[in-house]
Formats: sequence, C-alpha cells, structure tokens
Amino acid sequence: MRRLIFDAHDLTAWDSGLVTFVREVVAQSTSRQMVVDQQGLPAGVQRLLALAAAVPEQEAARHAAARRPWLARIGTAVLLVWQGAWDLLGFIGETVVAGRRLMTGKARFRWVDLALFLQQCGVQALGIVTLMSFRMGLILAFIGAVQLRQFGAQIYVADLVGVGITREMGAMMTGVILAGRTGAAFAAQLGTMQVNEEIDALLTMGIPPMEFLVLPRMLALMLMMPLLCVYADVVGMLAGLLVSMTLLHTPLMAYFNETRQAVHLVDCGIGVCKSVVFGALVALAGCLRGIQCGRSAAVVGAAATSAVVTGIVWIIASDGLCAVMTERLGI
Amino acid sequence: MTATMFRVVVKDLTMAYGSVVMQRDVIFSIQPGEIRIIMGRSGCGKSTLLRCLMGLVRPAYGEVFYEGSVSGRPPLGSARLMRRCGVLYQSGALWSSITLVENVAVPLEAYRTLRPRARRAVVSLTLALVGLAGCEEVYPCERSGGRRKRAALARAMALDPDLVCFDEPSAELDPLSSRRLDALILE
Repeated sequence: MRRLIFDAHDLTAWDSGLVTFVREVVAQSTSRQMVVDQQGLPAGVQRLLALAAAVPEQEAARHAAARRPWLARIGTAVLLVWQGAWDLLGFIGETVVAGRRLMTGKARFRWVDLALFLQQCGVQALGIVTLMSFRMGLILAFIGAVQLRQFGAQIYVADLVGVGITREMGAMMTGVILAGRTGAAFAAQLGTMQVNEEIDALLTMGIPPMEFLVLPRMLALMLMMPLLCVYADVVGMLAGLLVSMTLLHTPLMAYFNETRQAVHLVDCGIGVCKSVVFGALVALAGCLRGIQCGRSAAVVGAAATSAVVTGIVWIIASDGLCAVMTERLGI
Repeated sequence: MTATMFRVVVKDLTMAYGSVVMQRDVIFSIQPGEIRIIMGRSGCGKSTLLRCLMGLVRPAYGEVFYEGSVSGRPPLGSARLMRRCGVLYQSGALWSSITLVENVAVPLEAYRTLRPRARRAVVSLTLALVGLAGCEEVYPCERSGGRRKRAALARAMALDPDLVCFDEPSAELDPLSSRRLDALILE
C-alpha cells in the first residue's frame, strides 16, 4: 500500500482523541514511506495537526534514562559529599562573618524579625516541649521505679530523673523537638523565598541574606533553647515526682531533698551549654538546607525533611562529642 | 531622576548550565538613557542573561562590566555597585512576610540615612507614584499580581537606580494591567 486516504464524511463529532490517533497513524505511515492524504479530515483536525508539526522536535530535549556504571555512581556520590562539606564550611564562615558584623553594629539586621522569631521559637514551642518533657520524665521515672523497687532503692528515682534530664535528656529532646518544628520551618521559609526569587532580590540590592535572614533565626534559637531546656528540665522532674508520689508513695519533701542532693550546678550547666550548641546547629541545618533549595515547589519539601534529619544527626554527633569531653574533664 | 553616566558592557558572554549552552558570544552595551529590549523564545536564556548582568550567576565565558559613576564587575557583595541597579523580577519577588511599605523601605533602610518619618514619606510617595497609595500596610499575598508587580517596581526604583532590569514585566498580567505597567515603566 503506497497511499493512505482519510474519509471522514460520516463523522459527526470529534475530539482530541481523533487528533491523537490520526497523528500516530500519520507518523507510522510516513516511516513506511507512504503518502498520506489528509484532505478528507475535518478542517479543524487538519489545522491542529499542522500546529503540532509546526515546531520540530528538539533532539536534545529527551533525556535517555540510561543506568550509569556503579563506579560512576560512587564517584558522583563522593563528589556530592565533598561539595556538600565545602558548602557547609562556606556557610559556617559566612555566618561567623555576619555575626562579627552584628557585634560591630554593621549588620543589615531587623530587630523586629528577631522578636518575631523569639516568639515562634520560644513561646509557641512551649506546648510541645511540655508534652515531650513531661512524658520523658514519666518514662524515666517509671522505668527506674520498676527496677529500683526490687532493691528497696526507689528513692533513687529522683537521682535518675534529675541527673538524666538536666544533664542529657532535657537538652537533647528539646533540640530534637525544635529540629522537627523550627528547623523544618526555617528550611521551608527560606526554600520558598528561594523559589520566589526573594533571596535573589536581596542579593541584587547588595543586602547579604546571611545578615538579613539567617542571623535573626540563629540568634533566636540560641537565645530560646537554654530557656526551653531549663523549662523542660523542670517539667520532666515534676513528672518524675508525680510517678514517685503515686506509684512509690515517696513523700514530696523526700523526693525534693534527694533531687537537690543529686543534681549539681555542673549538671545543669552542661545541659544548658549543650542546648545553646544544639540551638545553633538546628538553625544552621534549617537555614543551610533552605538556602541550598532549588527552584521548584517539590524541592522545598525535600529541603525541610533534610533540615530535620541533618539537625538531628548533628545533635546526636555533638552530644556524643560533649560526653567524651565531659568524661575527659572529669565533670 | 538625575542624568546617569552609567553604561553596561557585555563582552563575549557565554552562558551555560552544565553542558547545555544557552547563549554563546553575546555582545552588547546599554548606554545611559537607553531602553534595551531583549526578546527570544521560551528557554533561550533571557532570564539567565539578566542573572548574569546582576552577578547572580557566573557566565561560562566572557564578562559584564559596569562603567560610569561606579565601575566594576557585578559580583554579589559589591553593594556600592548593586545599589545603583534595580531589578523587577518576573514574579515580583516581594518579601512575603512583610508589608508593601516595609518591602519598599528595606533598600532605603540599608542605604539611606533617613529618619523613620522621612523614610515613610519617601515610601508613601513611591507607592503613590505606582498607583498603590493606601496599600502600605497590606501584605503581598493580599493583592493581585498586577499590584504586586507595581509594588515590586516601587521597590526597584526606591534608590533612584541608574540601571533597572525588567524580567518579563508583563508575565502573569492581563492586557490592561500590562499596558498600565508598560506606561509606568516608560514614565
């Protein structure tokens, strides 16, 4: 067969399905060196077919989904990790420079933004911090009670809860909560600004995004974290008191005195210092992922997720480092 | 607006994303008082060219040079240079967490030593010039695309720049709003 003719005289109605079908038929026929006569098609179909063929297909636009060799993939991954480390170092450096400019009063910094972030990071996080730290105190006390009661040493639940929360769990749980809550929010905010070219607008005005966007967020978290940590410590110990009084029938004053003897200022100080570091790390992770975000809505979600994971990993790593340091220092 | 002595020279500019070359060996200059329109089909690199002019991306080859009252290449951080330029982005790029008056006030706070009252008066005038008088305390999301574009234009013009770049100023606008914005730009 050398010639293909379309006869649509009896066709009463048509839609894009017909156009699609005819286009496929024409493509198949042309590849078989057949002549296609489209005169029998409705005028509208002919016009649409002409429109679809007007702009030639861009050869380079199609990406072949070729699977690369495993060695190439490993190499790419290593390069990505290296680039990521380099970017992180640069980000930390810019943050330090911005911090120095803030201290000398030269930073382009809006104090009203700091006040807003203090409220968002601090006051608005009280609910979730209360819930988590109360539950943590309950669990610590309950687990301790079950074991220590066997030895008649249930009073030491106060020590377990007091030292465990002030020295470790208070700061860490607060850090993890804020990584999920505030770190993700920072990443989403900055990522959306990146998508909407708002960060480009700052750059083209010569206003450093580090000073305008990152510094107020970091400062807010570093100021609020110690306060939230102390609050979490108190709530956690109160939860421990509740378990001791209800389950173990420990008198209030006995629990209070035991806690006072067990928990030293050093323990509280270590917890508070850690919380400041954790706050900085959460802000760093959130802002870094936000600014590194791409230019589409989909990557904003990925940036928020990455901020949470990065923040939590950094918290755990730095907590381990702190544990080694305090052990070496004997405190 | 004062007479400008500002000139932009683009020489042998080649722009690429990875191995994909957008444009090669672009050469042109923008003289003081000139309106230069760059047209092309979608994806040909117009926005990339603008980003190269502003120093937001580094070209693969070639250079952009500013000559005049302030001279130099536009890398980021050259505040002295960048304050002489204004940009109206395709989407407006207003900072969504602050009001229109705060948006326009940001460059004034950064580069002008005005008292708050004087700054507010300048911002009110600038917004009135673009037809947004009375809209000072609204947020960008509370206004239509056309009004957001006008507010973004006010922000771009806040420091009386020597060079203003417009990235598809009529994008996302209806024909009437587009015509009004064109008239505003020419004004």
